Amino acid sequence: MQIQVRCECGISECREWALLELQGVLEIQPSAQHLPLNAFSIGSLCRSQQEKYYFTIGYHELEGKKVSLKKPMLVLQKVLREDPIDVESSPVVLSTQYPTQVQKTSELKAIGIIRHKILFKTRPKALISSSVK
Amino acid sequence: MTAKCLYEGCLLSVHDFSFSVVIRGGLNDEAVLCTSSRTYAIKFVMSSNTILIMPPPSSHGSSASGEELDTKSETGGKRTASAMAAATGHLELVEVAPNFEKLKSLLSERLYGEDTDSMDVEESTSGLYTWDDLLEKLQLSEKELQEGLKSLAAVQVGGFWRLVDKKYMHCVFELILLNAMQHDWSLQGLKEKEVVSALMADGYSAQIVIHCLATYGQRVSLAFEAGIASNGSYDLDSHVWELNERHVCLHYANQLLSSASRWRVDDFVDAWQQNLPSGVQASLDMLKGKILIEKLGSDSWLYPFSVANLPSNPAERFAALFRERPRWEWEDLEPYISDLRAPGKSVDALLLKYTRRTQPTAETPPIFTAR
Repeated sequence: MQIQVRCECGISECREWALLELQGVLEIQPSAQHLPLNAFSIGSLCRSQQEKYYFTIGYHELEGKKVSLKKPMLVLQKVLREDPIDVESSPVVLSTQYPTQVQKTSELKAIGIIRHKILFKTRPKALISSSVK
Repeated sequence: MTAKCLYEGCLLSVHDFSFSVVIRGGLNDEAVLCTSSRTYAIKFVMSSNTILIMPPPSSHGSSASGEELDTKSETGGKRTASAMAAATGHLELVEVAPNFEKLKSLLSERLYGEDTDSMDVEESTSGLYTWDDLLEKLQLSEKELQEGLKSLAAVQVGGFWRLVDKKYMHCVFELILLNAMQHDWSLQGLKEKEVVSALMADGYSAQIVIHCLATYGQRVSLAFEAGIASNGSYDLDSHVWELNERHVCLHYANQLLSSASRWRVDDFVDAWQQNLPSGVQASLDMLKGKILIEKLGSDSWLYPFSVANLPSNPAERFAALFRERPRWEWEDLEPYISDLRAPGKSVDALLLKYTRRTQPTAETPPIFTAR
């Protein structure tokens, strides 16, 4: 069995994704657990002048820094393709119930590349100031 | 938020990607990733941390390299990330040595032998594999598959890759050598046309004869003397082959070894040289990796011990070698480990891992024993 890995853009033009790594688990409040994940805003990320990154989640503030990955990573997406089978080359007799025979193949498409990550490994700071969203 | 924001993105550690990349494996195999020349095992590395990945905003010009990103879609002047995913870990690639065992077993399903050669058309194609079939079934890169086919001396017949029965190959080779002696042909300048017609008269196909010439020798550039036919015209179709001296010697050595498995070295060398065509010189060095010599009293005896019959996995190979002999001198050991492949490990690294090296004095050669 073969699964093709494709990148349409070429390695130099592959769109760069961002990666944030946090030591800990994000938990959804019990009252909101029925909502789909994409209905949430996780927090606010900003970068200071000194190349420090601050991620504010709820009333916690995490400080992190940008690190280059030793080996860049590719983001892959599974794609299911249905290609019509060339009837001429197929040895199977066509059934009249299914006018078009399809061949289902799986492919992995490279949709992005990650070269750096923003790593947060310090203890979060609790913000009690009223200016926090 | 877009509909695709939660696709299961999986991250893959990248080395050098030429981007002709395929994942191969059967339903019960561990998946491997193949570039055009190498094979990597795919391992999933779990992370206990929370990993969030996000693509660059599509309509905004800048790339996502940490510029102010807000993961909530807002019109309040902040930049937003269009979508996001959470990863539980990533996939790592570890280079692995190509495994030719399955290739050998697939091609051995229907060996090309005496019966095959005499048949004009083969009835069914089950157990026969084309290049594409092999790529579909094996976990090898294209370059490695090519290498494997070459090392097995496989031949492509009618679009299918075939392994020729060893006995059959030896038979054809023997006939070529006999004909050469009878007709006084030079082993350095065998004319393809002559050889093929002589053997076709005995029922062998041209394809197999040429494959034999290619396995045990090589084509030489067109020699003018060979090309000119008896009427003086230049014969452009005349390919000329030169047999490899070592293969010729090995052929006769194998014949002697199959008649008796233990030989006094001197007796062997005499019998060997006697059987060889004139002009061919044999030397015991040619048998490195095929025989072992042991001293019993004042005599030296040799017996077959071929590297081709040993496991290809380094750990198993060394175990088999030390079962045969607990102590090895480097000169004897080298031909039995020079073909070992372990990505990223040199022969010295393998020796360090699997053997213990001792050297009694500076003058005596080093001895290798099991670890």
